Amino acid sequence: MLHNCPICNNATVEGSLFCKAHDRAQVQFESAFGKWQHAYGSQLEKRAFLERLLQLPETGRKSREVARFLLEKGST
Amino acid sequence: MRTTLIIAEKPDAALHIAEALHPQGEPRKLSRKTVPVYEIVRPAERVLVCSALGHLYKVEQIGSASRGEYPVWEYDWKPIHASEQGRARQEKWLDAIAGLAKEADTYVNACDLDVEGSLIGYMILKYACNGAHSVAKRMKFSTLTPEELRRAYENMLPQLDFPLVNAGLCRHEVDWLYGINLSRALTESARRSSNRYTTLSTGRVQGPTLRFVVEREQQIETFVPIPYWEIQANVEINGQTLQAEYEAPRLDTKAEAEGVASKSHGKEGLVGDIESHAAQVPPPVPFDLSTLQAEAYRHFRMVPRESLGVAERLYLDALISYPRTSSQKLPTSINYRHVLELLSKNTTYEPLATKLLNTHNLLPNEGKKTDPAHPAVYPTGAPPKRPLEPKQSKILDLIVRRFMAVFGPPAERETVKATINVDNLKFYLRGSRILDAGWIDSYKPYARFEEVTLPPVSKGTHVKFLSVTAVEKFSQPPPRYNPSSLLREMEANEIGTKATRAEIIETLARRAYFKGDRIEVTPLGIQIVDVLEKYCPRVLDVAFTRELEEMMVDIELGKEKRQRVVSEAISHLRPIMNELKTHEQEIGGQLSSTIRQARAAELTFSVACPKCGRVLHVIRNRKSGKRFIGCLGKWEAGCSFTLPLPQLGRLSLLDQRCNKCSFQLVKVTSKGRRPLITCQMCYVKK
Repeated sequence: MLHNCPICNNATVEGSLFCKAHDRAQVQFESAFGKWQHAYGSQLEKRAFLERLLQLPETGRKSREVARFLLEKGST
Repeated sequence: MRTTLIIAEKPDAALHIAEALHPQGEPRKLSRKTVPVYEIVRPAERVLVCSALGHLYKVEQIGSASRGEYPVWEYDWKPIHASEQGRARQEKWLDAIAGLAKEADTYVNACDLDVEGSLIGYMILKYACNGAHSVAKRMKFSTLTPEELRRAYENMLPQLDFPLVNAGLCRHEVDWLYGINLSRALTESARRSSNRYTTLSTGRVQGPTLRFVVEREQQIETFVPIPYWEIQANVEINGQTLQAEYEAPRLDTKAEAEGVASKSHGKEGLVGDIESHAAQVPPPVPFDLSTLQAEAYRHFRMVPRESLGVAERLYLDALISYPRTSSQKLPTSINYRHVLELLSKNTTYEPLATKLLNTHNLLPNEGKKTDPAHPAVYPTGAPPKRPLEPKQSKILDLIVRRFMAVFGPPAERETVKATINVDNLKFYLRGSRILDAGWIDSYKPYARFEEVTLPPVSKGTHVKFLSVTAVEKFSQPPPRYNPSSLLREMEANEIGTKATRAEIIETLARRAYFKGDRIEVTPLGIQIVDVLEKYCPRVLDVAFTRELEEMMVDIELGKEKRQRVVSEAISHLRPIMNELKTHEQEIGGQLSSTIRQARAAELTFSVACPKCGRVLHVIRNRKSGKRFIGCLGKWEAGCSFTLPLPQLGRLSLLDQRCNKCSFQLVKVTSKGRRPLITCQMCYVKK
């Protein structure tokens, strides 16, 4: 059954909580978090990672929206 | 006495041809229905020279179908004035040419030597000159200088260049079929769904080009930066402070970066190996159109369409060769020495041109790209007959200096790398200088090399590490396209032609699919790609577009038949159109909602959000469809500021502010009612 993306209300892609654009951002998060842990040490928590992403100007708009959503949901 | 009718592409070109063919350069100007025509009387020959006004014929739908119906497969070539309003000038032109054709017994196509020029001349000869295309001759030239034009007239091809004509016919017909059908499908789907008309378009080249931009936008929007570290080291050698670079330009972990910094900070190192390397920097290659457009954008920020327009004006003034070329070759037949001699008469270029003229063997550094019809862009050396506009002067100067640079000797550059060893770590000091400027002198100010001078160092010199810090950095998202880099992307993917790429970029911007000089795609642009990707992905397929381009090039080379390519294109298009027709309602729904949102997004307030200072917009709720004033800081900063809006009527934002609270005023207009001007901030406070 199709649902709507909780961020933008567009239709979700199959098997994802998000729409196509936000899902793509979320996939980037998964691989990026591993690289951040390698860079800062494995003690880096996901919440700190997401909070830092929100502060960086390089973070894309969709990625920023997903980060904020995940932080608000507390699903870290 | 025979009468020869020569048809040039533009009025300026006709005048140049007429002047070149007249012994004293003074042809008699006749006026036929106010259309300029030149007459030259030569021994046993009367020559009439007139011109087209670019394309005078176009592909047009035949049959009784209305403009909104699709798909359409029946077409024919018709005069432009017959189907477009405001084309009286074109009609007058064709009438005049038809009248001249009756006086002539020999016909010559002297339009620009490329697919478009060959087609323009062919259509006029065929339809306005009563089928003269079958007996007409062809003049071939790359500059409008008198010598070359006279040579071209004496050595005409005995018939038209039919492979180019067929390629032109095919390109226009295929592009028309794709453009009209796909664009109508999008426009009509949206119109039938929303009852409002918005021109939407796509095509064989527009689709893949828009996809490049959308893909780049998606990469930027979903970008997640990755940290890395750079080591910044300030070292002191013989009392002089310099910056040294660490052997690894970037480090992936904080621990490693901080380890390097703490190991070397405040320490003393020793200079180890010193490597010096001299390398030759070859001169640039001659300009083809796209490198000229890229340089014009880099140095003058001129978008490709503008630089092409300026270059064409310079060509029509006989100051440069034909600019729509993909060649990077300069054949000896253009007579380099003669061009340089003419350039040496200009005081600005005299020293450089004279220096080159003193060289025994003038040999250009040619590039790989070729063009069967034209050489690379080069100056004719002729002085301008009228004062040039600033942009024209800039482009001409760029072309002149590039032309001289390609004949220059290679520049010679020396680079030095000194290794500093400290606690088993390696740092480098780098310097570079120009030993021999070579061609760089000719291409100044467009070529620049930065020199970095190192103090005298030798093996064993002591180096003090004053400060070493690990600087945290983050990877950057890919850059946005600009008009020049997008054009290069199209060229690299072999879609479009040198003549059409700049125009396609302009069309996409005009349709509001993207905006800005650093190209930013709009929601409408994303939606168009989404729809095409879902229902007809082939239209966005670069490989498919390239395949068609290759077939058309094969027609130019005489290896392929026009009819076969058109049939092939139609057989690809039919199932696509069926699919679009079947899903018209869904497509219309998607597009019209994006158009509605785009219109609402145009309503951006100039006053900032009173709560967080970010941008206020008119937003439409996706679930309820209701509009309201919302803050863009909702997702960035969690700002919850909103204001209600009237739900009925057409909304616009005024430049006026509220006298009481200074908030921006809103105007709502409804049919049959007086406009309502309101301050929503005060409305809420009431």
